[in-house]
Amino acid sequence: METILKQLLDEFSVQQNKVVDNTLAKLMHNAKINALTKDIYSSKQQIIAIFQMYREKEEFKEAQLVIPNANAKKHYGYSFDLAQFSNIRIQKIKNLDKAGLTFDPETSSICGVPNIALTVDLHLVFINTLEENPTEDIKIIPFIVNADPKDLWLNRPSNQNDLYAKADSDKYAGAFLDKQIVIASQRGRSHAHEGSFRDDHFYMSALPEAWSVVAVADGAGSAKFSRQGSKIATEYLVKTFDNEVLLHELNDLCLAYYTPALAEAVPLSPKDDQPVSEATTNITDEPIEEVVKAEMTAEECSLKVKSSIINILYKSVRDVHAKLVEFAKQEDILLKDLNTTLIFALVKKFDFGYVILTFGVGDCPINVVIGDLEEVRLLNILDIGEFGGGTRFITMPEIFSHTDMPLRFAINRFDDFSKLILMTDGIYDAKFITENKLEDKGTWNTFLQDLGGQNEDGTKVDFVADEHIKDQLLTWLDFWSKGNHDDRTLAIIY
Amino acid sequence: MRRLPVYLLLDTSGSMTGEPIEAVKNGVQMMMHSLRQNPQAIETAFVSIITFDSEAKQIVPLTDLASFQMVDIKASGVTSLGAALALLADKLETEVTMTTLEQKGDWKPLIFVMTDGIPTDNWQQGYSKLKAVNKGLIVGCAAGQGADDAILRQITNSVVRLDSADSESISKFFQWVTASISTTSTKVEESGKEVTGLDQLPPPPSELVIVA
Repeated sequence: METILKQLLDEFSVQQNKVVDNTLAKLMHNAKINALTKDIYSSKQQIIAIFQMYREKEEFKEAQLVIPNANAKKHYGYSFDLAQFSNIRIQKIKNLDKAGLTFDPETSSICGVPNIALTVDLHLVFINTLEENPTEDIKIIPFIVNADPKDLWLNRPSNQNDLYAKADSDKYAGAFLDKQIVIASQRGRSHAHEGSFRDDHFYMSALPEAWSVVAVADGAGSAKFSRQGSKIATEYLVKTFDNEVLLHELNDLCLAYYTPALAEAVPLSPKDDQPVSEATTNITDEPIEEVVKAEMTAEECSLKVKSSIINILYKSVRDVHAKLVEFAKQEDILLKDLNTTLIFALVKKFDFGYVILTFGVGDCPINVVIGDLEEVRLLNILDIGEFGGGTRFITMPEIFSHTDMPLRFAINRFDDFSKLILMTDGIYDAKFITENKLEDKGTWNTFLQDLGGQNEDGTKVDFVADEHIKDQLLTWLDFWSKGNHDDRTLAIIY
Repeated sequence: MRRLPVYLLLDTSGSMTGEPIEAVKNGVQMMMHSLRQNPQAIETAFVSIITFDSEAKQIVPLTDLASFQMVDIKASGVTSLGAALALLADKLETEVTMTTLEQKGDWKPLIFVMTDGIPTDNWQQGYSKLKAVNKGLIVGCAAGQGADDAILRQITNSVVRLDSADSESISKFFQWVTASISTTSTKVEESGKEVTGLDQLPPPPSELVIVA
């Protein structure tokens, strides 16, 4: 009480002196003054309470309140944490309905499934619950609903009047030796978005001497006319093997390689040892040179046969390169404008099993699956860069002189196989992700089940009742995989 | 999922007060809004913002476009470019994934450094730290007459200059950054080729002069 009286005297500029002190001493016990002082104190309390109430509202308004962005077509849930603002109650949120979301004031939470993408300022209408007659106030928070990425992709047809025009998708089903083959190739979303061409290509053919071949190529996205490069590479590769004499020789060599007892009967092609003059003279004609000794051990002999087989394959691959060089020259375009990868499998069923001759340049795998996934093998080496994006192309002359060239070829024999699969990186990046998963049975199991219909869209490729298999495979190729929108080509021999 | 990491190093020193800093904030907002409409960018591009004034701070860690939320920035203090470069070096090491046998790593980062002044710290020290780890493309932007493009040119071969640090010019710069990120995310997705120089980015608007 004394403090209040003294403050009051100060306020009214009453100078302190003896008389004033005596007056104060008397009033200390005055009941009326005592009651009035209590009133003052209580009024002050009320004022400060009102002040605090309003301050909490202002603080809430100023607070950096971040609410996570939502995504169209995906469930959204968010609860406001009002621990710091215990008396604030959000009554409703204006504009939230624009996003298709609702707000529950009891739990201070937003939920629902936003239907469309938008950026909106949410108006949080709030009160302070301590107020007797609460007045509403508004806090504004920016809110973002991201589009469903699938809706952002356009599908523009490519211009079929353009140079080297190509269909946006392609499919094939038919016989392959005593098995079946299905191939589908689908333009990637990134190309569809721009209305540009599919750069992948495939080609297959039954050949003389009961051989069959399938080739798949992935034209480089950075190369202007890679759609034509991949077409030439696959078609011409197949053409190089459409040669009875050559395949007959290959028959003998395969027999010699796998049934060595007959090896002596097989003359090693003298042609392999003679340099062939071609336009591409900078490319070495003999990748694998074996010193021919007068007398060869069985091992040396086998090696010699092997190198003869590889030399035949090598010549075909080199001819494909020469064809691309010739085409670029003839069309007056740069060779690198045709940049494309290439994989192929040349297969024949012998008495002693299937012989699968393979080659690969680039990052597309060739896999064979034995039985019910008893074994799965990657038949080629992949060119994969250290920081991503480093691949090699059939159009690059340097691959022919590189020491790893012989490793690009492989000779394999299997009693039988359940599937022989060639794919472009549009499939492999999405479904296998890394090279080392290409021989992983678990990943393959998932992949085969995915083909069998165990996927988000329920699209199934039926290898048994297979009358619609090429359409099924093409539909399956449309699978959604975040970040993987490259062209997709998948060839399956089953 | 291979990401395209984008780092924006923004000068928030005192000289940016007022119109320039507001233009930078707007620029970032517009950039994010526009990139969110691009299906390739929204899946590929991840953005981080490092500001530098008296100290360097990563105000937004490397974040996907869908989750990105801009943080308020204010201009004050001096121009610690060196500290920003050193911080960037740290972040490149911790936030960007290298390719291993187990996973394909991120694409090479795209880095934009915008400054309106002259570094007040030992920028060479920060730069040598950055040089040791960076594999991406750095684009320097000298904004306004007070900026020294000679120092930026020692940091990167790709330098552009804005004659004025007004809101119009800064907004154009961000539009160009947006187009560059869009182009790069499309390019890496489609061709697997990363950009290595200014010549592979979209042509800059007339407000931006290429100086190196």
